[in-house]
Amino acid sequence: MNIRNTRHDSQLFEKNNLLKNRIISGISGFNELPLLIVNIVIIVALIFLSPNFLNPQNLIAVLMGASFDSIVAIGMTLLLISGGFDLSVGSIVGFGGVMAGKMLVLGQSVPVSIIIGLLSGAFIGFLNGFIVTKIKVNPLITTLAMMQIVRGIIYIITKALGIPLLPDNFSIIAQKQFYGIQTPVFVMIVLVVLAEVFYRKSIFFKQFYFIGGNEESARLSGIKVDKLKWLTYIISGTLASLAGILMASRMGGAQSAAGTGMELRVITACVIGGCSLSGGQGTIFGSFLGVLLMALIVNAFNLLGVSVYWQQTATGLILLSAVLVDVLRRRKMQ
Amino acid sequence: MSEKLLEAVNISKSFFSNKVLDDINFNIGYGEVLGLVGENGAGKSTLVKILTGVHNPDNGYIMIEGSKVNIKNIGIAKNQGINIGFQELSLTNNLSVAENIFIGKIPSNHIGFVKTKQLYDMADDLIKKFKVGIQAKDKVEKLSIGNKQIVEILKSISSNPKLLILDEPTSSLEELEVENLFKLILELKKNNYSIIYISHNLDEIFRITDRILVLRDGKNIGIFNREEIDKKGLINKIINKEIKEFFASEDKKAKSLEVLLDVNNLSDHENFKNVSFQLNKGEILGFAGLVGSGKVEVCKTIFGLSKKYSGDIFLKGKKIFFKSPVVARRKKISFISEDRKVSGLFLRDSVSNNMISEILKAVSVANFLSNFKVSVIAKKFIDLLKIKIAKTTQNVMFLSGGNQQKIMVSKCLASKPEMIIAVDPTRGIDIGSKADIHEILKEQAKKGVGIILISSELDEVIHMSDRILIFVNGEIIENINSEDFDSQKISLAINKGKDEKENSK
Ligand SMILES: Nc1ncnc2c1ncn2[C@@H]1O[C@H](COP(=O)(O)OP(=O)(O)OP(=O)(O)O)[C@@H](O)[C@H]1O
Ligand SMILES: [Mg+2]
Repeated sequence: MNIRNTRHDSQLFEKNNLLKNRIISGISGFNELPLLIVNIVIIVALIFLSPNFLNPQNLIAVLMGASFDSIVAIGMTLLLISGGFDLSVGSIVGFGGVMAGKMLVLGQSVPVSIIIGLLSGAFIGFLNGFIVTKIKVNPLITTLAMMQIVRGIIYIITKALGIPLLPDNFSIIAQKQFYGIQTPVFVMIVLVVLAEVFYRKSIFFKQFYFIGGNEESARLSGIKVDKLKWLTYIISGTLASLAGILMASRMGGAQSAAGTGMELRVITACVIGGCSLSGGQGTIFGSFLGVLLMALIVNAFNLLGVSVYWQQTATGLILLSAVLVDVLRRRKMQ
Repeated sequence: MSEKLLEAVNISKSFFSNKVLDDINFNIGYGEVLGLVGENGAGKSTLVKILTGVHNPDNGYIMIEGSKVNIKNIGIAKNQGINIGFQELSLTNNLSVAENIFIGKIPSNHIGFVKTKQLYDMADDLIKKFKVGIQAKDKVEKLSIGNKQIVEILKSISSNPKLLILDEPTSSLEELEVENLFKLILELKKNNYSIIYISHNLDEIFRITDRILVLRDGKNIGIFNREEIDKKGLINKIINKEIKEFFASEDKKAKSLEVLLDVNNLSDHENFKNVSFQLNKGEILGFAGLVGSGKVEVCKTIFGLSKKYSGDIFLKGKKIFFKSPVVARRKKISFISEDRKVSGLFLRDSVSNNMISEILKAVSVANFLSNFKVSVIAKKFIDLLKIKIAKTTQNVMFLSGGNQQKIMVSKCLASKPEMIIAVDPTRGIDIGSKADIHEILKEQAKKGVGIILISSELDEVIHMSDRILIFVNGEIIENINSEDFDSQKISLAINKGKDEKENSK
């Protein structure tokens, strides 16, 4: 009886300890906290600085802007975690929208058009992945070239005019509102939550962290390094085209310049959110906060009447400082 | 002038709340070799990193030639004449020995052209002075690891330091290369250089040092003259408890004769040819041979790291094409690689994540990681291998060298392999834990696991193996059973190929 009791006690003790440890490591492992605070500070500042900030119209616009970037950032985060990189996502956003639009114009049904739009993004990702993992070309060069090629193809397909005026039954998808909030925002929320859970805990996605941490060690551990890296490009391409399709639907037409410049904004957001350019690190929640921060900054510029040129300069500066922080963080570790 | 070159006074250092060095005092004289020994995580590397300005002490100070010096960074240490021969070689492979030695201070004329002759003369001078057997014009990539190490040391010497620090310089060297290194150290000593020498190999310590500083848990246990202490006494100081006789022979158990791995006529047409052998279940098979004899390459091929091979490999009677490590891992073969940093660990990841990297399925519930299962595995191996860490979420990067190696071994054992290929499994591991790991490997063999063992220490191979294959120039030239082990004969056989090569020149 006595023995049983003590054992029970010690088990309870271990359990308590485990719980305590988990809470402690949960808090200390919560690297996104500073970024969350920065976001909140900016929001509070904007509330005071601009009377229009809290206007529902404005808030929805911020969320809409963030939604497309977030969807793309989910793929980019996975790429960065596994040590990859993709500059072609902006072009794929345009391509996905244009391909879906083209299909609609050619008389295909809405679901078929969307699927073809998604597949064309996946295909570009497939090519990227093939060139990077099989021919072993540096991802930066590969996706930089792909960015140009795909944008060029968009202009060829649409004679640089885009595909304006898409049918209503397509446009309604992203324009439909629930409680004043449009579909892309919901898509973003669902995808971000799912990705957050899966990236953090599932053993399938854990492998990408190992690949980015040390490719050679990952290979020796029996991880299918090349196949998985290839897959990251396909996932990224598919998500980018999804963002493009939603964007086209939202606008009621596919613009040939859609997604231009998005790649740098998204990469910046991910790096701010804790992804390391040398791989092995990053979380969806962090990247999401990064996207939100970028969206808030753009919004702040708009509300405060700062010119577009300054916005570009600011994005560049933020990217540079985020990378700097990343480098310093790593140097300190060594 | 003070009679001591360097004096460390009351040095303490903590990382976060973990006290790594506790009030350390010692000194080192001119032309003296000071041995630094202690268990994994005792604080040896941290202590020398303080001398070289990598870390700053929380407390205490350092005197050089009688005056107090604040060694804030590596630059100041260099200026003060303190140089460390890095464990990770910092050489440029496609340059010559001379260029590597004098990199950053290559002699040039007024328009910036290299004075080639002067460069090679300078290098030749150094090479002659210290009587090392390499050529100034050789490309570094062609040198063995041992010779690279020697170039690395000459490089540090070229800036004329007063104190040279060697942190486990022999952990990846073959016996012959160790001899060459020792010759160099003795020459340095003659020239009045002072040296701090860190090693887990006590035979080396007794051969080369004048005094020995023992650290345990960050405390100075004592400094002993080499003559006043023997190996057993020193071990007691290091671990403070009696341990089993090392390399004690034990009665060999009856082997199962079930063949696990059957290799037939294996060639990779580059490093080895016509390699045939069998590995039985429960057998420890040693591969002995020089660097470049093909022994490591054979292992890598079996593990699927080189696709282009001819010949057949059978595992449990079934022919298998090992086209990638994915296949090998699926067949329950585990590989402890020779370089934990390059191809073994995930340095920026946590201790527990490293341990579970090969067994994700086993520590998950419905394909999601189970914190509980992960912590059970981590705890098990931390206890089993006495791994010294603050917490399991700690980055592996910050562990001491030996503790990193223990994580590699845990990772391998956690995967419950049926066959283990172990290349230098105890590299950098302290004497106490080394005996533990030997014990663990033998237990694995008793359970029926087949083990291929390679080690840069011939003694380790002889002690552990049931049978040894001798590799010379990419071929197996001899197969020796444990009854006939004789370290001299084996050593002769290993070096046979080399002598033949040299004679034919
Ligand atoms: N940069 C660091 N941050 C945190 N802890 C550290 C750092 N460097 C070393 N430590 C800790 O200090 C302790 C001593 O490490 P050190 O590398 O000095 O051991 P060592 O005696 O060289 O061991 P080994 O024989 O295994 O090389 C270890 O517990 C290690 O985890
Ligand atoms: Mg060390």
